[in-house]
This record gives sequence, C-alpha cells and structure tokens, in this order.
Amino acid sequence: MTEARETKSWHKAVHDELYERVPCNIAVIDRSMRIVDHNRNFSDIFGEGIGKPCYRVYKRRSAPCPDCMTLKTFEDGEVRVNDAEGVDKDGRPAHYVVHIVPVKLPNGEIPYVIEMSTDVTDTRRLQREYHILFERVPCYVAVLNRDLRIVRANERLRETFGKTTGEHCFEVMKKRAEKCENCPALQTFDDGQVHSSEHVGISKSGKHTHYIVTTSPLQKKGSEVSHVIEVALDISETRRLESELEKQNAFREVLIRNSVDAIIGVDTESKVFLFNPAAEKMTGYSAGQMERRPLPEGLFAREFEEIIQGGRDRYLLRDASLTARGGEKLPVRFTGVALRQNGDRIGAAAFVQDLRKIRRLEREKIDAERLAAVGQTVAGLAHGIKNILTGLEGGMYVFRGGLEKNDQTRIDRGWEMLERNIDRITILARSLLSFSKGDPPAARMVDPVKLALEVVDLYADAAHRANVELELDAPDPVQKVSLDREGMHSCLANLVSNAIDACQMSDNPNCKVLVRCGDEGDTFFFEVSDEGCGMDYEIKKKVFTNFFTTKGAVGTGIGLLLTRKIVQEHGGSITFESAPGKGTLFRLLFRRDRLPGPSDERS
Amino acid sequence: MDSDPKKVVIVDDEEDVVLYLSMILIDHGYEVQSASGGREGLELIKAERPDLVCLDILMPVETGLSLFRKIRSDPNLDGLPVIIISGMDLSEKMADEEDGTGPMIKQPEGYLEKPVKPDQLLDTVKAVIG
Repeated sequence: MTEARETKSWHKAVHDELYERVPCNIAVIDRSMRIVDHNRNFSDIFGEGIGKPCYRVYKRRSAPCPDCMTLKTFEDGEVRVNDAEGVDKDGRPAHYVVHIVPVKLPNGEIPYVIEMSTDVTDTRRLQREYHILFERVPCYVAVLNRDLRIVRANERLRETFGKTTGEHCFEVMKKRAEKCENCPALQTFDDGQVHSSEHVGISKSGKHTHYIVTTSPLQKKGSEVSHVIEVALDISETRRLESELEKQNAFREVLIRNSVDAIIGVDTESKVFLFNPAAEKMTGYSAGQMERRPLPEGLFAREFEEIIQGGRDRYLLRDASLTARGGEKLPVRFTGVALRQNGDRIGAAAFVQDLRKIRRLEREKIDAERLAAVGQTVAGLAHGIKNILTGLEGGMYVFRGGLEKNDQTRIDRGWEMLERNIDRITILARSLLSFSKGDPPAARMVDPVKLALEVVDLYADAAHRANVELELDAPDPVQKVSLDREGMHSCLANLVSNAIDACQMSDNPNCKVLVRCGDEGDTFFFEVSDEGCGMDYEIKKKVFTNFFTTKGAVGTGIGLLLTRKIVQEHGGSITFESAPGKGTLFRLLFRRDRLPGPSDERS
Repeated sequence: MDSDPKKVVIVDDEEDVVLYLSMILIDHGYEVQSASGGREGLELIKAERPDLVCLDILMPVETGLSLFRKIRSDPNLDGLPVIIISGMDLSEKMADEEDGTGPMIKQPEGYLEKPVKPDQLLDTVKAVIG
C-alpha cells in the first residue's frame, strides 16, 4: 500500500511538473467553452483565464468563433491540430498551433477538451519577412532543382521574364532551348561552391537584359546539393549608361581632335593630360612631349596659372599672346576655365584661338575700306572741284563781260568770284594734304569724355550765337580708349559743326545738339545728334560718297569724308540716321578689340 | 525776244554758280530768277511760272532731284522744261538717281555737266525753249 501510495504521489508530482513546465500553453475547456484550468505558460501569454470563455481569452471575442474546432472535438471526439491567430494579453497578435484533445470518460462522454498550443508568432514573423525579402529584393531570385527547373521565382523575375515555375531557367531567362555554356548553377551543383558570372537575357517583351548571376548551394549538412539559389542583379541601366558614356567620349574625342582651336588640359599640378592636334600645331610641341609634364614657361598668359592655382574660375582674354616653341609670339584669344568634379578643383582647361588669320583679314578689310574710301573721295572731290571750276569760269565770264562793257561793278564782281574760288581751291588743297596722309593713327589712351567736352567747349560760343543748345551727355565714367586724339577731335568738331549748321537751317527755333559717348557691349561709341533740318533720301545717299557741303561757299565739303577716313583708320565705322525736319544722329562706332594699340607704348 | 523775254529760274546752292549762269542768260536776253534750295525753288517756280528751270542736283535740305520729281508730278507745272546742271558725273544720268521705288518720270529736257561754258549753256537753253 505504502509503495502504491508512494508511486501515486510520485506520478502526481511528475504530472504537476509536466503540466506547469511543458513548453506549451495548456488550457482545459468545458462544454460551455469556459476555461476550467490552464498552466502558467498559458497565463503568461493570454493572462488569467479560468472561468472565462475561451474565445474571449484567446481572441478577445464576445461570441464563439465560427467553425470552432473545439466544438467539433466535443461532438466527434477526434484529435485536431489547428493553426490559429489570437491576441495576447497585451493586445498583440499571437500565432499559435493548437492540438485539441478530448478528455473521454469510460462511458464515452467528453466533459472536457484539452487545448495545447505552441506559440509560433516569431516563426511566422520571420517567414513573413523572408517572404517579403524574397519577393521584393531588387534583383531576380530563383530556386533551381538539379534539372535546372525553376522551383520558385520572386516577383521581379516573374514580372520581367514571364512564366517561371516549372520551366528551365535557360528557357525563361534566355529564351533558349539548351542550357547555357558555363552555367554557374551547374557549377554550384557540381562543387557546392558559390559562382558568379555576367549574362545577357531576353525579357518577356524581347528586350536584352544584362545581369550578374550569383549561384549558391541549398543543401543539408553532409548531403549533396539538392537545389541552387540563383540571385541575378540587373545591370542593364548601368550597361546603357556605359554605352552612352562611350558614345559621348567618342564624340568628345572627335571634337577635341578636330577642333581648330587648341585645347589643353592640365591637372592641379600644372601637368598636361590633354594636348590636342591644334595645340601641337599652334605651339610646336607634340602631345607626347607634353604628356604628364608641366606647361613650358611663358607658353600661356599668367592668368592661366592663376586658374590652375585656384585664384579664379574663368578668364577670357580677347587679346592675349602665346609663345610658340620657336619663340614666335602668336596673337590669340584665350579662354581658361577651372575643371571641377563634384565641386572639387581637378585642374584647368585652356581653349586658344589662333588670331593670325583673323588679324590678317581684319587688316586687309581695313585696307580695302581705306581704298574704297579713297575711291569714293576722289569721285566726291571731282564733284567739288567742278563746282569751284564753275565758279572760276563764272568769275572769268563776269570779269571779261565787265571789261568788254567797261562796267567796273561787273569787273569787281568777276574779280571777287575769281578770288573766292581760288581761296576755296586753296583750302581744299590743304585739306587734301591731311586726307592724303596714309599713316596709321597715332593712337594713345584718351579719356573720351574729356575729349568730347573739349569739342563742346570749342563750339559753345558758336552754338550760343546760333541759338542752339549744345550739351554733352556722359553721366558715367567711360573707360579710356586708344585713339588718335587730334584725328578724333577733328571728327567730333566736324560733326558738331554740321549739327549746329543743320539746326540753323531748320524751322525749329529751339534746336538742341547732344554729344554722347559710352560703351555698348564690346563697342565704344561717340554720338552727335541734332534736332535740325535733317536729310532727305538723296542727301543721305551721298553723304559720304560725294564731295558734299551744306555750307555753300563757306565749307570745303571735305569734313565728313575726312571724319569717315579717320574713323575707318581706327578700324571703326560711322553710321547715321536722319529724317527731314526732325534731325540727324551720327554715330562713330569702335570695337575696342579692333582699335589700334596705343603708339606711346611702342615708343 | 525784245518784247517777250523768256523766263528762266535757276536753282543752285552755289552763289557763284547762280551769278555766273544768271549773267550768261541775262546777257542773252533772258529774264532770270534764282533760288538757293529746293524748297524756295518750288515756291519761286509756282509763283513765276517760268519757261525753263535750270536745276542743280546736290543741295542741302531738299535736293534738286526731289524738286525735279515735284515739278514732274505737279499737274499745274505740266510741260515745264528742266535742264539739270550738276557737278556729278551725268553719264549715267537720272537712272542712277532713281531708287526704283517711285513711279517712272519723264527725263529732263537737258543735261549739263559743270563746269559749264557759256556757249554750252546757251545752246542747250536755246534747244529747249528757243
């Protein structure tokens, strides 16, 4: 008896220990679905539940679950295993696998059902995460069996290549009937190692797809490789960009090689990394001689060094010079720019335009303009001389008539005409002397505002007498200009004098003459405008092409021709606008880069 | 001619030219009036209704060519003969002066290139108006 009692007591102890310590949640449910008992594990997860309906404790429901498995076990006494989802005592979702076991009395009655549940919440979470990772990872993932058939493929692979599961990987990814040479999956099946290689596949829409495949073995320890997991990274975009970059490089290479301008690139240590054929031709150095070497001293303007050293980002020098290998100095237009990568200075580039040809053409153009001006002037002079000759002819006629008729008044008039016209031809001859000078302008740096002011002051009295308002409009300081001072003074004086005359000939009683100077872009200008009588079409046509004067016997008519000659000798041009009765605007335009260099520098 | 001198208007901005041409014509029995510019010239022509106009081409403000066109286009001055007397090369005559935009006009009745000899002027004037 004692032994039997001891045995019973030992059994109970084991039972109690098992009940409490077994790593699952145990609850005993009666037929009214109330929990009559549960172990500690149960209460740790779902809280105290004794006396409460199981659906409230497991799932926080107020009514029994539809398709309740426990109810079914009460009915048929079968053991059931079920996957269930509930809510733990803290309100978090809890996944568990539940075994439902009936407690059968000898008479077959089932007063209780035991529910033994195992918490699989963490496992499910891992499964879900793994699934998301597998499906959404931004590359193609496939699991292959030994026949190279796809057992499983992720979303991206399915979307790109179409039907996958059960098909051969080479059919799906390359649309080919045979397995590929150097198949990395086969290598992994053979040696159990990881293999990688680059492939070109064909997507379901027929587009070429570049990808890098890595195959890894799926095997249990000690057994042969049953499956291979294939992970392919799509590099189509990278390949497209590489190809685009190659094209751009080729294009740039052609541009650089065939540029007529020298293009030179240096790093931050002034060492040459780019020296195009035009640079070779211009400087006399070969690209081979220059590569990775510093630029020869004095080859470029100091400003380029400044860019390389980081002092400036850009320089444009319209009038620079380059010293070629043989020591020849070439006139060049120089552009230097800093080279940057992601904001960091990596060197500098120079673009150099050889100006020799342009300079020669410019000189030829100026010469041609001079010659044309001379031709037009000669034609104009002939016209002027004819007028004087007519005056002389007239003087002789009147004088002779006076002698014949013994008419002293007529003799005097004829004599005056002869004198006047001889004077005119004398003045004309003197003016012609200055016109005939073919020397280049004696240019020096001149303050144009000061020069214009001198002319305005010179004519102030004349303007006042003529009741003309004469003004200089130069509100801002103007950069000095390289001009022949005397020549330009004559030009302005001539234009101002003409403008005052035009005002005198006008009906407008309050005429104004305005002198302006300034810069417009790379062009310096003098401007003389008046509100005088203006010119009609015919006068405008002849203003520079004929020996023309509005001043009758007083003027020589050479002023505008001389003005144009001086302007053209400076590489400039003269334009005008005029409307009868409204006034005239003359503009002398000088592109600063075409102006002659100051001669006092030469001296 | 004694009873009915022909009237000539000279338009030229050169004072000496006007004096010279006037003297020649007056010496030979013509009645002469003159103007030094196109605008005054037209007024004078309209007022005097001359038998002939001697016209310089290149004058300030309004040119002889402009005045010539006005004469030709004025119905009241229809048939008024014009002699152009100019220092310009007249070999290309008026065609050179046209800018091609205006209507075709009747050419002048005579051309004389300066410097003008008295006989040349008289011959031309006589050929036009007798």
